Amino acid sequence: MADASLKPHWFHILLALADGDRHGLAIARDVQTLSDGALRLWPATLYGSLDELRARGWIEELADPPADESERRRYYRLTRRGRAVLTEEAERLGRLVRRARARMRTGDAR
Amino acid sequence: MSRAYRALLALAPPRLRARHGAAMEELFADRLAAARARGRAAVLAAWVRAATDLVHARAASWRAPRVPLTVPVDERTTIMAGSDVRYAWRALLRQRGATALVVLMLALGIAANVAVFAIVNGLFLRPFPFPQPDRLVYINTAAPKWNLDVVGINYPDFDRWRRDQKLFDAITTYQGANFNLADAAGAVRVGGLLITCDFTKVFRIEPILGRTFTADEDKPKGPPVVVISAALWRERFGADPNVVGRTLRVDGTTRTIIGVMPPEASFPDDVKLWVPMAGDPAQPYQSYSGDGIGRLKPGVTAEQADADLKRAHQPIWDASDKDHVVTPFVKPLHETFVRDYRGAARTVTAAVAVLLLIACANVAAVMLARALARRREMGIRLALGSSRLRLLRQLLIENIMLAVAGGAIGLAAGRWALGAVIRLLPDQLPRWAAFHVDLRVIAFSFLVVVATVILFGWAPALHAVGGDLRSAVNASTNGTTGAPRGRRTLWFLVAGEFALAAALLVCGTLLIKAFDRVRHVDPGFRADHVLTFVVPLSEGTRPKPEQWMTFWDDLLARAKALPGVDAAGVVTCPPFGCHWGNFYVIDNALPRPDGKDPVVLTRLASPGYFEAMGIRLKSGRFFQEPDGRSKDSRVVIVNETFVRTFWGEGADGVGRRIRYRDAKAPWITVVGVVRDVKHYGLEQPMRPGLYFPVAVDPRPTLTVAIHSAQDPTSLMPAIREMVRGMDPEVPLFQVRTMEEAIRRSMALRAAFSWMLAVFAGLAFVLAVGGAYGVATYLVTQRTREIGIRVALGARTADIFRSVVAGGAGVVLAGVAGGLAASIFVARFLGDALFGVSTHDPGVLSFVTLILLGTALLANGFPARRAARLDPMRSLRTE
Repeated sequence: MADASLKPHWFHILLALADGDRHGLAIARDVQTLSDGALRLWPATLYGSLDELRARGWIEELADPPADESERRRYYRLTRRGRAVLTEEAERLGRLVRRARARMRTGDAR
Repeated sequence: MSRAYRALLALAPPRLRARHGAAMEELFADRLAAARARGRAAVLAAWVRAATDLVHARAASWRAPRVPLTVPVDERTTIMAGSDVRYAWRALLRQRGATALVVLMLALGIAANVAVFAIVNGLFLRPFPFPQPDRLVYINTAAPKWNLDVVGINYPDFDRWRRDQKLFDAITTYQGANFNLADAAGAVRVGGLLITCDFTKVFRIEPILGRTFTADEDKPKGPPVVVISAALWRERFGADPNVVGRTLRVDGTTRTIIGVMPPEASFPDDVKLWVPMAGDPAQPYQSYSGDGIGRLKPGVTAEQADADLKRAHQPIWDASDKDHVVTPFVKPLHETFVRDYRGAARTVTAAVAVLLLIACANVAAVMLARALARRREMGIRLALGSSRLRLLRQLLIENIMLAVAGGAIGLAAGRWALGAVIRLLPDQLPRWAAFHVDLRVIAFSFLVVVATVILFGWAPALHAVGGDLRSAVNASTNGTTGAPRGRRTLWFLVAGEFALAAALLVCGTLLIKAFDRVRHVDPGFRADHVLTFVVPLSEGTRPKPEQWMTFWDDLLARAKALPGVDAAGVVTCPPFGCHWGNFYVIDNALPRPDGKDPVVLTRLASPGYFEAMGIRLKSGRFFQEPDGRSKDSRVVIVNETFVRTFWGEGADGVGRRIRYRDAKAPWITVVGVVRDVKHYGLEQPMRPGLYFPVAVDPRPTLTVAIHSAQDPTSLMPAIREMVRGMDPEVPLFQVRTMEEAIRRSMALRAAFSWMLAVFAGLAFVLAVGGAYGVATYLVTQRTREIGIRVALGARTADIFRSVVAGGAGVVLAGVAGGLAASIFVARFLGDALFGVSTHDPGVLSFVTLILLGTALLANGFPARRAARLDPMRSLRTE
């Protein structure tokens, strides 16, 4: 389970939760904004991912007593572990971007 | 819109739908609204995207392992077998090699069983193709005092039974016969029956066209009618619907076709014509040559019918047979027509069952090894809340999937093998028996698959989930030999496989040895470069015996003149051919201790026959012209068994005399004694036999034998041309070399022996493969232990010895048990062994050597690998 990299949509979901708790629809909208409209999460992917991330303990569901099960909106929050994973992935990507820039610069020079 | 998406949600994994259905709809509505703003194409794309999203999620849910901790308790109890199947599928795919091996071994065992069962089914289980076949019985007469099990039915006797019997619906008698059919297209020879009019009532078969003959047509000098088979109708009349009323020239007589029988009526052989027997009950001294079939009244047993027929026979005994020499009997139909195959079929069935058992043991060993390796996984799953029952079910489903795959492949392979076996035995199997993969065969295969699951499933399942699984989890690695009980079971399976394989190999080798021994039996004639064929003359065109003799003299003279022919002769019954028995009064015969009068095989032959067949003279001379041409030329040639039987060992028969039983019959002098010809087959004992000159009593149908220094089959065109030149209406059939005749006479034994040998060979391969697999597995499991021992100073040779010794001991025990069993089991092969001893030392040592040798190799390779392990590497394997 120790994937070297995080699946892109997982990263985006974690990122969407980084500045506050959100429900599914809000996460989907936020991800679209974050990715400049490039990443659209479709329902099964989004909620499947949310379950999976929750199972891994990276996010948690807010204890919100449901008024009506069908109307209930589940809010999600980043856990400490989730935040750590997100930070690590962001740093990895950051390093990768720096290396890419460096390499492309030397490539330009040639 | 939202209803449409809700319907689409059925595609989603159920758990996802249950938890998030409403939210998913909401999100989709949001997406759809955005898409609408961009136009119709975007809306369509959104729907497609949403659907693939759901399908993708569903597929992913199968691939990804469940994380048991997140499954709420209520859901765990309702997980369906569907998930078990998916899990089993994944588990099997993970070990493709082992799975393929297991499926292959099962398929092999099941294929052999399906093929053999289809044959047994066709011969013994499938009823005869007539309504209520269990009520059909075989009727004939026996003469215990003359040493004859089957005499044949005499028409006047039959007529008496037909009138007086009380327990049959109907009885019929028939004689198999060959008929010449001649028309403008040429002459052919077809098989048919002379049969009484009762046969449709006995078999309860109706013609597909026209009618069958009536009692009035089945009388001496009745109208010439004939019923033809569907095959003949198609071949000769192009399935003409108006065939009834047309005529057919049968043996020179023009007969009117009155009906066409369906294909299944072809019993007991290939029957193309049914001709009224037209027997005359009033005519005395008729031959005993018919067979009989009866249909019992409902509820009557064969024994009751037997008594009924004997009661009906009583007046005949009283009138003309006070010594009760000829006795009628009734037997179930199957006993008569399949008795030749019964022993062979039983042995082969037992052999394939053993083969399947070995395959199952092998599969059990592979599965057990896998299961032992998975104990840690099982332990973890148990700790995570799975129940043992659930784990057992899981393993059971894996087994069922394997068995079903093996069964399906095995069924297909078995069908193929069945075809191959039937091609191997073309004319050894009866015509009426059909060998198909029918419902019964499929049901049998299903049962075999179920039995297989039970046989190979128990050990792995119990060992995988039984006992203390917590220690399996605690064991830090799987590199130790945990589960000693499992290891013992593994060795037990290997020993069992070797025992079964040893027993099967002994039986197979014994049969091959017996086959070889039969092959080397002296047939009493020279088999190579001899060609035989049958020429039948129509009594319609040549009514007189003198005309026949002229034809034969002419034919032999012409044949000898053909370039390449050294010798030519005619005979009534060639070796492995017909039997014509007779009784004689023997001058000066030894008294017979049992009081029984042996039947003497009586043949008529021309002088050239002995030379053409290479029959060797022991004393005296062969026939020469003009033997038998005049009434006072009374000569006979007898065989060695004849001399030994009647005049005793060492006597010379030449000059002694015999005569027919008829009181006024003249004495006939023995002029020559010849070596026995194995007339009834190479492995059958020879009876007393004799030859008269053919000129004494010419016959319309004879077998011609020709010897040539060149390949005799190359003479065939010239011979056909020669016979056509003599009479275009005369056909010529059963053309075969004597080598081929010997091969055919041995076909059943050959097929039987080789089938058993092949099964033994397969069993051997499976057993050795099993031993190798188990040894390899155990060495892998002992990697850590071996590493420690090497690190502590054990030498390579010590390791090698310890590994091999473990395996060899088990194999030795298995082989010893198998050999002991085989001596007992081989006794059931009985006559098939042809005098080869059941504890033939050559065979036993051959089997022992080959099994122990290969077992040593099977253990040696893993042992060598173990001995060469680098201790550091092996300790680090975890």
